[in-house]
Amino acid sequence: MRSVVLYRSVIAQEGEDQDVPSRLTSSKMDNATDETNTNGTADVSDSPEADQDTPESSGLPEPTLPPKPFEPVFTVKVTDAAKDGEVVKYSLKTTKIKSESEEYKVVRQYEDFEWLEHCLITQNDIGGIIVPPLPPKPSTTAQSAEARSKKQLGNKKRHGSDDEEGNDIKLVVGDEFEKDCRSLEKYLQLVVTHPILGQDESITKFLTVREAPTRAKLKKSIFSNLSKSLGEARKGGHKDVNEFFQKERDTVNEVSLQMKEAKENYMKIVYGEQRVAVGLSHLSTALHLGGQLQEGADVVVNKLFTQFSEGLEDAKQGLEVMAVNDENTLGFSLDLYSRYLEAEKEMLYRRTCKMMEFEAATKAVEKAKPQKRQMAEAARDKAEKEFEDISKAAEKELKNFHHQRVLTFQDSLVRHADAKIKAARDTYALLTKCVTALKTLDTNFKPL
Amino acid sequence: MADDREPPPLFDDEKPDKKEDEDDLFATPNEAPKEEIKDEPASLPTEPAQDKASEDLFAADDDLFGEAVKEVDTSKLRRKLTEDVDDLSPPLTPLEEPKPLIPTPADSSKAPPKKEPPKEKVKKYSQAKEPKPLIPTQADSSKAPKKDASENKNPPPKEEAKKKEDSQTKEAKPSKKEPASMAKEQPPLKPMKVSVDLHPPKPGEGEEVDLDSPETEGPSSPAKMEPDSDSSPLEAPPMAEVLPPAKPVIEEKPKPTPAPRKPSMEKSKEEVGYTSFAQIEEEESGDQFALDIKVHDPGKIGDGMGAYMSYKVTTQCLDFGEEKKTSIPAFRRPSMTVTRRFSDFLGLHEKLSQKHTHIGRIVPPAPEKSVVGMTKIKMSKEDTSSTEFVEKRRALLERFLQRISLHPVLQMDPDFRDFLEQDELPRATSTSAVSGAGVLRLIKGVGDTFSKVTIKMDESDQWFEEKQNQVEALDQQLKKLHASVEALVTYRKELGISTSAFAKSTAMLSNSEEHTALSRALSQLAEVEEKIELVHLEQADNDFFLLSELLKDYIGIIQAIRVVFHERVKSFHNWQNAQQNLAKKREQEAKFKQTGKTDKIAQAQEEIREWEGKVEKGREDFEEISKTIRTEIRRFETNRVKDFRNIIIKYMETLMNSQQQLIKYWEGFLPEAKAIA
Repeated sequence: MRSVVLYRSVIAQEGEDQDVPSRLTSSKMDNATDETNTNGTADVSDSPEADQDTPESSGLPEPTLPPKPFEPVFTVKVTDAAKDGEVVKYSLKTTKIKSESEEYKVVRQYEDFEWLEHCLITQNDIGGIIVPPLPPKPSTTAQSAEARSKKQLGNKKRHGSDDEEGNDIKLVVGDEFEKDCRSLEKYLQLVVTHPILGQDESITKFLTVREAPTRAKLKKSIFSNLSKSLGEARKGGHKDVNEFFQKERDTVNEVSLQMKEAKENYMKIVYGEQRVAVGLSHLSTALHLGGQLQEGADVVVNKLFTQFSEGLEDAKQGLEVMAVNDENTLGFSLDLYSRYLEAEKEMLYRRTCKMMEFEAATKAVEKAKPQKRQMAEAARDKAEKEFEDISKAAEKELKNFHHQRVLTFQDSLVRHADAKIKAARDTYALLTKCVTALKTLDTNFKPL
Repeated sequence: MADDREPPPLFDDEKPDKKEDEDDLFATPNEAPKEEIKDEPASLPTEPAQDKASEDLFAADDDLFGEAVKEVDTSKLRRKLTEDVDDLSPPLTPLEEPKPLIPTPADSSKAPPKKEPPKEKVKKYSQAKEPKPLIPTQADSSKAPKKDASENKNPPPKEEAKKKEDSQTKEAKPSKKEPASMAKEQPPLKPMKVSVDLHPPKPGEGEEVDLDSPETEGPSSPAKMEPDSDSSPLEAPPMAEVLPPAKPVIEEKPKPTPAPRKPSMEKSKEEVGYTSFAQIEEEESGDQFALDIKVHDPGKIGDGMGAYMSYKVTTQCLDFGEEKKTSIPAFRRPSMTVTRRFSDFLGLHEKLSQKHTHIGRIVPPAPEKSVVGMTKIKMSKEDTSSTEFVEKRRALLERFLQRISLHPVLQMDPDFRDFLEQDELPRATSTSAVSGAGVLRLIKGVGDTFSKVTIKMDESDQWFEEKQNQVEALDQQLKKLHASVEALVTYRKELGISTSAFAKSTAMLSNSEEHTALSRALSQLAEVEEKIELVHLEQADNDFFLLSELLKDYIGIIQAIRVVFHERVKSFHNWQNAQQNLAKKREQEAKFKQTGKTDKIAQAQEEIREWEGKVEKGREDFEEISKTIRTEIRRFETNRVKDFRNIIIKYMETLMNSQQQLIKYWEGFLPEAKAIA
């Protein structure tokens, strides 16, 4: 019983940890915003359309915008998720930063997020912006849940150790939306704190209007994805005029792959921990099951086993806590950035396209016949302007992005290590208790 | 003291039997009966005889004796049995071969011819033999008749004396092998007998090797043997001194194997048996001979399919040199190291179970032969899976020996002693999976399982019924636990692999990271993860070596317990059979009386007497084995609690240690992470 209580304390700490991420991330985002401001002003000046789109841009003339930091309008929390039939509904709680009293609570589902993303992309000039990646759609069907469980807990047949475990597996990983909530929350925060996207009307509507926006079915054809990736492959190798961008492109290509791999491997660790926890729990259960023989040495052995199984249970819970923490700290960041780096890649690709357009226009000017020369020059100038704009925006965005990235990783690494230490200490304390109990256990028995 | 000694003689006695049998093959028929008969009462339990009966099928039918029918029967059976035994495990201790035991009138007359065959043998193997203390053969022949006479009369009080004589003669007889002249010169060495009894003679081994297994690496050189003979005289004196008070020891000898056909003697022996059991229990309670046995340095010897693994076995006598030296047959050296190959371990197990299983002792199971594992070793050079296999096996072998050394009776077994002590060991011939003996074993195994199915017994003893159920339940539980632990080990290893993969990814990330501090932190993280991988793998090893192997051991022991339970059922069966036969004979006698066939009545009465003896013997055997099993089970239970408690605590401590390491590593990493920005 005591151990259970202690375990709760572990959970409580762990719960704090879970809370911490949101707090920390928001505070961190604030920090990030400081940097953003400098860009923010520039961005705004660069993209007049964005200004027009945002009613909240307060109509200040762009040049006069001092290095006043961009301040996000809202803080967002995804407080809860509930399954309603096939659809998972997320409860959002939004607070206006300037007036704490203004609080909005809305319910959204994943399709609404997709729509929001669509609006953000289409209604803003996202040329030089790294658009925060929307997390993949959470799986809600039974089959996918089972597949996920298998992935996490391993296919029993491979180990072929215990028939009973096979049955249990399906039950082990239930529906858990916690992780999805965190991911979506992070997404919203990234949008809200983004100097440009944060001023978008659609995000405001999304957060504050009770009625969900009309859900227009978005047709994402596989085709467009395919052509995009083909294009990336074709143009990816195009030499950059700017060394900074060339380097950035090279690195991001490399790092995004590594990040994905790291994330995969990290998740394997988490799954591995969960699996070991399951193994421990099975063992602990098996130890308990033996407790039916009530004679002679069995009594003592059963006592030993019971105590032992409690100890194993402690170890298992410690591991579970570790797994959850791992997933919430470093795992979360790795996951986010494996997607975020893709977004960066896309942004760089857009810039590369502009660059190629500009180069093509320059060539056209050279080749153009005198009578068309003027038109060509105009086109070239336009292309040049666009390219320069996008490069400028991209440079600032990248700077901001990397700064944020370092901060995020620092934060998650620190919390990761902290959580590990805490969990290990708690487990250690529990185990110590158990060993003491074992050592003092009276092992005398009366032989039959 | 007495306790300590008591068991070994028993075993010794048995071995000699085997040897005698061999001798018999070479020798005249006369000699054999005398020796065997004498030995058996002391050493061989009747059960084996019954076993032999079943084994008759395989045994050759040799008509060596022209003695009284009853005697021929048993002796034949025994001989067959022992022959079988020989097939399975070559006897190591030739020393005490001929022992005058139960007197038969023929004995005295037969004694003289006896001398000759041994001599022939001596000629053959004399080189391999070690110079032994010899006793003049005349003494032998003269003694033997005396005993015979006295034993014939069956005066219980004289038994002691007889036995003393027996032991003397035992020693004396081996001497016969040597030239008589030598023997005469060495009479003063007689006192050695006790020590000899306790220390199975090594010299004989070489010889036996030749007989049993021609493939043996070669007869042990006389030079090697000499130290033994030198040392034994040294030990002998204290032993001799001890002797007089050690009467109980001598008395105990008969206990396990009461004389088959003499009810009057049996009773006295029975009583003795009881006391000896009490003594055994005392032994268990504390005064044990502590040995620290290590198996180490596994090495592959040879190449290709002929390759095998050898292991070094180092034994430390923990209490060597203390007063125990006098009370316990200590080893000659406080520490010794021998080289053994895997089949030697199997051979040891084979020998021990031959001797002990049928009287109800639980012999710890030896590791199983693994054709797959060995083939891998034979075929491949050095890969991790085979080194893992070897390490696992090494640990298994070590535990096997340690378990034996903890058993109050088994630890005294001469075969076990030899195994730890002798430089050369006759090669076990019967352990090979494909040999003829292996096939025989297989057939016997099938027969056993068959009889397990067919022989049913109404359990009259509630204790046994409960224990049997309990053991079955325990088996189930342990198997389940074992499966769980195995799964856990797999999971943990996977976790280790994943951790290592992540460490690599992190290292790569760190390489391409431009932010210096973050890059450094990532490379630190990679290092930490690598260390953690080791923590996981170590823990997986702990899961395996502590928990999994413990459970596996116990599953094996439970199997041994089952076998012992089955032996008891067999014993019961034999007893019942004897009773039925007795009833039949009585009926017959009644018929004869009715029909007035007076001429046949005498014979019928003779038979009835014989069967009465057998029934009595059967009952006694059964009680004996039941008693031994109870003792053994109690020991098992005590050890179980002890083992599990110790291992569980040890295991929990490894878990704690893992956590501590985690704390250490992450605490080391934390400042690095904080220093990023």
